[in-house]
Amino acid sequence: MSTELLPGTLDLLLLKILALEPLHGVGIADRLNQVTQGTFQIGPGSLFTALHRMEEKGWLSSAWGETSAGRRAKFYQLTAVGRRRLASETVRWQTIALAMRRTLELPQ
Amino acid sequence: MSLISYLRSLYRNLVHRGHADADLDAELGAYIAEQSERKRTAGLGTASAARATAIESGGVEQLRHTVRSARVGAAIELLVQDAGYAARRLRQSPSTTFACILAFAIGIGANAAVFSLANGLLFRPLPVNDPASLVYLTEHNANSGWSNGISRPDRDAIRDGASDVFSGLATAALDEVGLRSGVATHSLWACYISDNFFDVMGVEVPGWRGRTAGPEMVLSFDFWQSRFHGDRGVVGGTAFVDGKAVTIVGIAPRGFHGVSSLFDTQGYVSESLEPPTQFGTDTLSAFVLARLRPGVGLSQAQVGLALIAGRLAHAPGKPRQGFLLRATEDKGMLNSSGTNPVGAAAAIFLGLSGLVLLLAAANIVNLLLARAAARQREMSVRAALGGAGWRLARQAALETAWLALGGGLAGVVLGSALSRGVTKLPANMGFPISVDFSFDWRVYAAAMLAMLVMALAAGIIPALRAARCDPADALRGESGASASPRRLRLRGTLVTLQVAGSLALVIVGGLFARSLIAAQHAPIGFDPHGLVYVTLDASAAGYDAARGDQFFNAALDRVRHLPGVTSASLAEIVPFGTVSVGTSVKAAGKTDGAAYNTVTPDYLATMHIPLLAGRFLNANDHGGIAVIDRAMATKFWPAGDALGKTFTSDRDKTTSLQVVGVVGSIRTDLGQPIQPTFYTPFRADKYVPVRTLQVRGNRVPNLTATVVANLHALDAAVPLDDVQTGEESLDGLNGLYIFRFGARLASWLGALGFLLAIVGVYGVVAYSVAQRTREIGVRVALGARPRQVIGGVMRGSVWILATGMTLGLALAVGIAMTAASLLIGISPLDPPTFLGASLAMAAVGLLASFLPARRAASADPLASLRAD
Repeated sequence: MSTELLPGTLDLLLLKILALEPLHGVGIADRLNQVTQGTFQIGPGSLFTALHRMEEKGWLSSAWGETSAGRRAKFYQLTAVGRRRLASETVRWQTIALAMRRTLELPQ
Repeated sequence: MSLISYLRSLYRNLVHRGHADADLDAELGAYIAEQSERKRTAGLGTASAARATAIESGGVEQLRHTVRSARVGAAIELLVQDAGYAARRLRQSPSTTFACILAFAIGIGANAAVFSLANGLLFRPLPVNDPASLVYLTEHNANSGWSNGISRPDRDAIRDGASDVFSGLATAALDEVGLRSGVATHSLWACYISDNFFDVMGVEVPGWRGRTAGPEMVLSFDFWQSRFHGDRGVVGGTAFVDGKAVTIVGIAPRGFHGVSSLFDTQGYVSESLEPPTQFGTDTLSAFVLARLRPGVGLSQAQVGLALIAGRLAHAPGKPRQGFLLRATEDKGMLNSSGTNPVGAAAAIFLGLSGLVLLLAAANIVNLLLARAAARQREMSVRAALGGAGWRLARQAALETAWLALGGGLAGVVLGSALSRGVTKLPANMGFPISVDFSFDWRVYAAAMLAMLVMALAAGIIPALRAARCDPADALRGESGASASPRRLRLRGTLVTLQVAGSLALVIVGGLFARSLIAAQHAPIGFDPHGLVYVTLDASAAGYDAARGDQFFNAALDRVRHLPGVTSASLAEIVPFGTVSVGTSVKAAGKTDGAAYNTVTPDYLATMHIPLLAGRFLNANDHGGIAVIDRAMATKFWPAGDALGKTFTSDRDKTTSLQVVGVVGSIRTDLGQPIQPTFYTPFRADKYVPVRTLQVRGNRVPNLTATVVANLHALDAAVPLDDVQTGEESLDGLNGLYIFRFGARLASWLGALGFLLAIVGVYGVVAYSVAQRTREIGVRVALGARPRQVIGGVMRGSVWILATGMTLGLALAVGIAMTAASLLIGISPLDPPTFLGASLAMAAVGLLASFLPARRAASADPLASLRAD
């Protein structure tokens, strides 16, 4: 089932994916699709807007590199600021998720 | 987000925008390429793979735009883009742009200049502590109309009787004195001040001790800087004021220039050194300043003074008729009582410059409305294509901002040129004045703001309306709003008002210019050409009465025998000078005011004043006789039998004066009616320490220099003041100065108004012709002759001109009647000025509408028909 992203979740997902290894646009989209098992699909408009915004905020840095297929592409990776951001966002999200689950598990 | 990374991104996106964009393009290109490569490997053809990718990603251009507009600084980038577009749009219609900038510049510049002048003359308060609670006290005689200084007993009576309204009363008598310090003698205007003067003014002068010490002197900051080069060693030293020793105890604070807003007092001396004045020992020729107690208003002070005046007027043994005491606030030149040419002039010019501001604003509104209507279609197309309303409005605002920026800069140049041009006029005042005419930036900002608000409204509202209206209508060419009769009527009304205001400005400018010409040729009763005046101050040299009389006789004798000199005389008062004296005269059962002068027998011959009856003074006259002028003869003896009659004056109530001759009246002040005047001889027992020498030497080169050199050779100790020719003396504040000032300012404002009217009429007619291009094309195609087309176009503007000019004439009559006191020698309704200005306005207005009409009539009808 493919679904819309909840507001505010895209940044966290991208930070988490890029924490593992530097990736380029197509790679990020693929990885997102793969780890969420197709739940989240992202178009290039939202993807690149988010990447540029996060880079401007100093969470990501970018550099041109070569893909496995031998094409030139821009690779993004986490900065130190981005790593701290990932940690704090993760804590925040887990708090929310826990609260949500408890609420939903209340007996009818 | 951290500020540093934000600024870094901003810098990259704005400054290295090309690089950032190329990088983005490459990145997105790589993405699209990889995606379509995948689709191809999945089995699609190259073309359909690319198309599928493009569809999926929503279009490459769209993608780029999405990412770019989310970048930091995108809003700024957009603004810069819009501003650039606005500038390009303005460049496409250079004439409208130029007219708008001109109107801005005129409106702002003229107002800033006039307000700076008025501010300098009228509104700058005294630089003292709490100037609002400081008032001036004067005596008035209701019978003669003259104001006098307050006598010492009266001053003391006020101080003791009105202590409930005044917390302090100080006196300051202005006098021109000689200051000898070391070897140099400086001539300066100083005040003899009471001990508490600085306390009452609320000015700190360390060193001034007052009564406890001997004679003291304080120098003004500017005088100390200019004559003593700021040397602190001066303080504590001994100097001589008119030959009497004083100790210089201090320097007044910078900016403090004495008792009057305009007068620059250069020094302050203990009043114990004040010599007896020419008006007798009892009268103070002084400013009497009083400090109101906290919470006491001017009206309460007047009540308190009226009570004391009543008591003084009915004092036993010395009743005084018509005796009044008044308190006035310092209002710069507005301060003096009665008709005041400077105050009236300032009011008139503030009004005129306000009119210029309104005209300029009307012009801009009109031009922008026309412009907005012409761009109706562009705005509608942009709105139809999805242009946001706010962005269209911003576009209009940006164009207005460019215009305001250009106009504002041009306004500074124009305004400072205007105020420099007016203040450059030679002001022959005879005393140092302290007027700050500096360009007033607050006024500039206020005028700029007012114009900007009006211009923004005129620019933005039509844009917003265009964005709201149905795009389909606009695109069909029905351009509803642009041709709406309501808006055309609004613009027609604006132009009508512009014509009215401009005509009024031109007429008033013409009146002032003609008044100056009339004033220059006005009969003044004597011949100023070939005269040289020198004022001699024997008291400044420390001379007593006997020594002074001896000096004056020697000086007169010496200049009289100079080669080429036909006549010379001495007088107490010189026409158009800074001082005039008057008194109350009782004669033939009447009491009225009259001016007087003390003169030597040659005065009449030197000044070229005609003798009408009897004789003039001769060397054997010493007292008991007087020569009166025609105005005084007519006032007291209308039957024409003045000769041999006697009168008394308040100057010397015990001596009655017999009229031995009648002479022609002379003007002593161009702004005032002729004063009845009487002349008496100098008397040994009434010593006058300051006298002016009149020397007539027709066609003698360097007469002034010769006279000055001879007087110096005679006695270098007596300072020579106000050395000027007869013509120069006419340029003083009582003479032509105010007329030159008024004529120059008014004619400039008139010219600016004229220019605005031309721009306004031309702009609106040209625009309405452009709007009617198709209609005119149809007419021409159907056989209308050019004359008929031109007539049709011009009929509308003739109507506008006619109503505008009618209103303008009415407005001009109103202003001229208000300014009547400033216009001498001509009627305020001077027919040649009114007629000439009206003809000029009509001619220019018709020409401004004829040109676009002829262009329309001669246009190719086919081209006109296709135009829309």
